[in-house]
Order: sequence, then structure tokens, then C-alpha cells
Amino acid sequence: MTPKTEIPKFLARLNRHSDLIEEAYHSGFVQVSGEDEPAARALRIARVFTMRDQGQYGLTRTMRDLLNEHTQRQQRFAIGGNIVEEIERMEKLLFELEEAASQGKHVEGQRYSEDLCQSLFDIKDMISQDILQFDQVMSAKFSDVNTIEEKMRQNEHYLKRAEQLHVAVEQLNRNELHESFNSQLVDEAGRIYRRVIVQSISHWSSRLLSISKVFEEFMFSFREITKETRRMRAFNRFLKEGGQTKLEEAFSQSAEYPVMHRVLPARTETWLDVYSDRGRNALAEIVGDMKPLEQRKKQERHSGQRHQDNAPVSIEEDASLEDLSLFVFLSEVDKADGWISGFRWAETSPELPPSSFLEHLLTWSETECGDEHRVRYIEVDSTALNTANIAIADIEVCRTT
Amino acid sequence: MFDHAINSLLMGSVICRFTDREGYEYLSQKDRMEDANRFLGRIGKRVVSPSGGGAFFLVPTDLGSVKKAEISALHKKILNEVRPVLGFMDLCMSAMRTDATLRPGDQINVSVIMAAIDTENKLRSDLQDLVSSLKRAGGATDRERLEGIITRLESWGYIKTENAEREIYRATGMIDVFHDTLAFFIEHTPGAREYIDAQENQGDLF
Repeated sequence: MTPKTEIPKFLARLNRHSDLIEEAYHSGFVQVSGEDEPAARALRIARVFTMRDQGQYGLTRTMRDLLNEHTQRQQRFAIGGNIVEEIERMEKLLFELEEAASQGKHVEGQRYSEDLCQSLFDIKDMISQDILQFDQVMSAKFSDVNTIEEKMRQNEHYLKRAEQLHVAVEQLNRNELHESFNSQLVDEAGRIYRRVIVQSISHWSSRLLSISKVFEEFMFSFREITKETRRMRAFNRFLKEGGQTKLEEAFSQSAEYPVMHRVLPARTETWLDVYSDRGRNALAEIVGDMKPLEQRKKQERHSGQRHQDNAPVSIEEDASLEDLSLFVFLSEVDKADGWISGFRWAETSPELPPSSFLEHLLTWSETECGDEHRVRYIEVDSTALNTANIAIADIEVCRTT
Repeated sequence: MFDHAINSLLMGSVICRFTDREGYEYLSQKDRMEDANRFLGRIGKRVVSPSGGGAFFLVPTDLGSVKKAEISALHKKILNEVRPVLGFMDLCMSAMRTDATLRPGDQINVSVIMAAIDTENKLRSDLQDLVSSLKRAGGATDRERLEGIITRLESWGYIKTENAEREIYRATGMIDVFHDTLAFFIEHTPGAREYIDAQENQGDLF
């Protein structure tokens, strides 16, 4: 059903039952029975009628205001639909009724009485509607808003309304009001007050109590969410504005915080069980399926071939101690003016055995030593020799000038 | 179940009802938790929960005894994760139109987030900002960027796939661990608390 089809249907209903509406408007209520009962119920569902008593229906405030507007009927102490103001209006009408009755002004008294009864029904209607709406809002947990700002506005609104309801119920339950409505002067209105208001007060109070509890609980969780969300968003902004670099400084305070010491996810390492036949067989099977290793082809540089300037230069890293030492030793030789003893130089390094270094130096001198360096071998008796098959005690190197 | 829970904790898992229901239920029982702690105590570890509850993880009994390298690795990991996770939570809240921060068990509907990003420029800019806070992340389209972030968060353990076909994920207990981490940083990062207080005073938080 769309609003477009709903409006003609509603207007047709008003038109069909205009006699009942008219009677309710002019008499304040309409007593229905028999064949009018379904029509009155339909008008009640359409929020045109409000049920007052068994078989007795009155117009809802909205409908009456609409008709008042149309007929230009002057309302005594007309109000805009606020409960507190309606209660004030009701009390003024009560005062006027008492005055008119005590002065014997029957016609005026009758009018005030009718208005007072109507006002009492209106108050009942307003409170019941508000409580019903609160129930609906509570069940939805106030969730139909997008932002905290809207939610805060909504909260403020409902808080105000809940407070108004409390105040209204308390006002209606005052002793002096009870006494006034018990007076003989306001006989009819007193009966309505007791039936419509007094009988509903306990129900309203219990509903308001449960609403307050839900409301309080929600407000608490809302405050918590708000606070947390606000802090979170502000902190995010802090990080964006350069706070990220300061996070590391916070770690100095982490000693007492378990969350800053939690055990990190570890990579699982499973060891192969080679001590059982099953493990060994599994390993053999895996190895059997493997492709044999291929000999790495090393492209050697032909003698005389030079690296091109643009060609990628491959550097093979040799991290052996002797190689590194040789590199350092030759640098020192380059800087020195004369001969440098390899044995004595190696002795200065605690990690480098001189004999091992001398072997390395000997290999270098025989294979890689170029024209830049000159080498002399010192025999065991400290005499320099240039012959083969001798016991070498030291090797001295110097830069060719 | 004892060995499963203990091994899982020792491997650094954060056990929650959404990642390991059985392990979580096992450790939720007081006597079994005491049993686990007795065992772990012998190797200098104990089980703790984040302040929001709902998860279990392992910490050393003596927090001062942890090796410097281990602490550095954890701190480095935390530093890398803070901004992306925080940014993602903010993006989720904005896109899913809720003011409640992400909590364990909350559903994350990627298609809803994507639809919101498609219609709001601010969210698109937030997404790009978020991607820039992640190392080795990117993507040619917004969807790829979002998927990259989701994958990263899942690999860190903050969310898990609930329904791959419908692109629905669920926040895990790691989110509560993250809330504690956040509280720690707000408390101890120089200038953070003052910044937040100033923002609150200015009423400039929305």
C-alpha cells in the first residue's frame, strides 16, 4: 500500500462516516452500538477516533484541531499539544468550572465541564501515546541515526520528553487535584478524572520505571561508546598529524603492560624423523622424486678479454679471512715505502694464523701477483732466496716504484 | 583439548570464540585455565586476557625477562599495525554508519563498505590514506585497495572470513587486544592525551 492509494482511501472513510465524526465533534463523544461499531473501530484504527469507554468514542486531538480550524471554533485556553501545557489548561478549566458552579452559572459550567472532560481524555491520550512511542524507541535502541552528533541531539530530545512525562504523571497525581475532583461541584469531570487518569497512573508509573531503566542503561553504554569512539577518532587524527613518529617513545613505559609482551606467532618448524624406518623411507621417496642437481656452468673470461664498460659486472664475494687479510695487507704495502713482512704483519692479528696467511700469500704471489708488486721469500735462516723447494719462513712484499 | 590449547598459545595465537571456539571454551573454565597456567608457569609463561575479555593469549611470567630481540620484533609489529587497524576501524564505522567501535564478533560486510566508498568522496580519500599507511599495499581500483587492506588485516588475525562468497568477515578477539594497545598508546605517547583533551574541549570530534 503506497501513500498515494492510502490518502483517497482515508478521505473516503471520513466521508463515509462523516455523521459519526460530526456527532463526536459537536457532542464531545459518540456512543456507538450494533451496526456502527465496525465503523467506529475503523475510525479508531485510522486515528480519527479515540476510545473512551465501553462503546464511547471521541475525536483524537489532531482531528478535533483540524475541525476547529475549519469551523473557527474558539477554544478556551487553546494549546499546542504539549502535555505539561495541556495539564495547565486542564487545571485552568477545573478552576473556571468550580467558579462557574459556585456562582450558579450553569450554562458556562456545562461548557467548562465538557472542555474539562475532553482535556482529561486528551491528557490520557497524550501520555499513552508517548509511552507507546517510548516503547518503540527503546526496542529499536535509538539506532536510527547516523552520527554521534545526531545521536546526542536525539538523546537530549528523549531525555526531555521522559522528564516531561515524569513531571506530568506527578502533577496528575497531586493530592490537591484529587481533592478538587472529589468536589460535588465537578461531579461529571471528577468521574472522568478517576476513571481515565487515576486508574491509569499506576500503569503509567510502572511503564515509566521500566523505560527509565532501559534508558539509563542505554545512556550509560552510549556514553561509553561515545567516549571511546571520540578518543579513537581523535587519536587517529593525532597519528595522521605526525603522532606516528612519537609512538616509539611510549615503549619505554611498556614494562607493566602484558599486551606489549605477548608471545608472537611463531613459524612452525617440523623436523624430519630420520630415526625410524618410516621416516627414512619417506625421505628416500622424496629424494627419489627430485631432479638431479645440474652442474653450474661458469663462463670464464678468455685471456686478454676485457670487461666492457656497460656490461654488468659480477662480483663474487669471498668472505674467507685469508682473502680479506690479503686485501688489507696489500693496501698497507701500497702505502708503505719499503718491504713489509707478511709473517710479522699476520702476527699482529690474533685471529689470523701467520702460517695460514703465508700459504695464502705464497699462492697469491705465484698466481695473481702482477707488475705492481715485488715479492721476496725469506728462508728459514733469514736469507732471501729465489730458488724453489726451500723452507720459507717469511714473505716480504713491496710496491714497485 | 589441553595440548591443542597449549600448543596454540605457544605458537602465539590469540584464542577467541571466533577463531578457535573449542580452545576458547576450554580455557574459559576456571579449573582448566589453572591447569594450563600451572603447566605454562614451568616454562615462564602465563595466559592473560585483554581488558575487554573474550580472548586469551600468552605472556612471559616475568615481563622483564623477555629478550630484547623478541620485544623489538613485537614492538615493530605493533608500530606497523596501529595506524592501518585504527584507520580501518574508522572507515568501517563511517561506511557502516555506526558510532560503535569495532568489537570481537562484529560483522564486516565488504560490499556495504565498498558501496559507501563509491558514493562518498571522503571515504575514498580515507581509503587512500589507509593504503598509504600500509607497507607494500596498493591497487589500481578502490576495490583492489580495500581488498588489499582486508587481506592484510586477516593475515594479522584481526578479522576472519565468515562468508567468502558474500564478502563477509568477522572481527576476532585480536580487536580487543588492539583496544588495549590503543589505550596504552593514548596513555603513554608524548602529546597524545593532550591532543585528545584539546580536541574534546574544542568539540571538534565529529
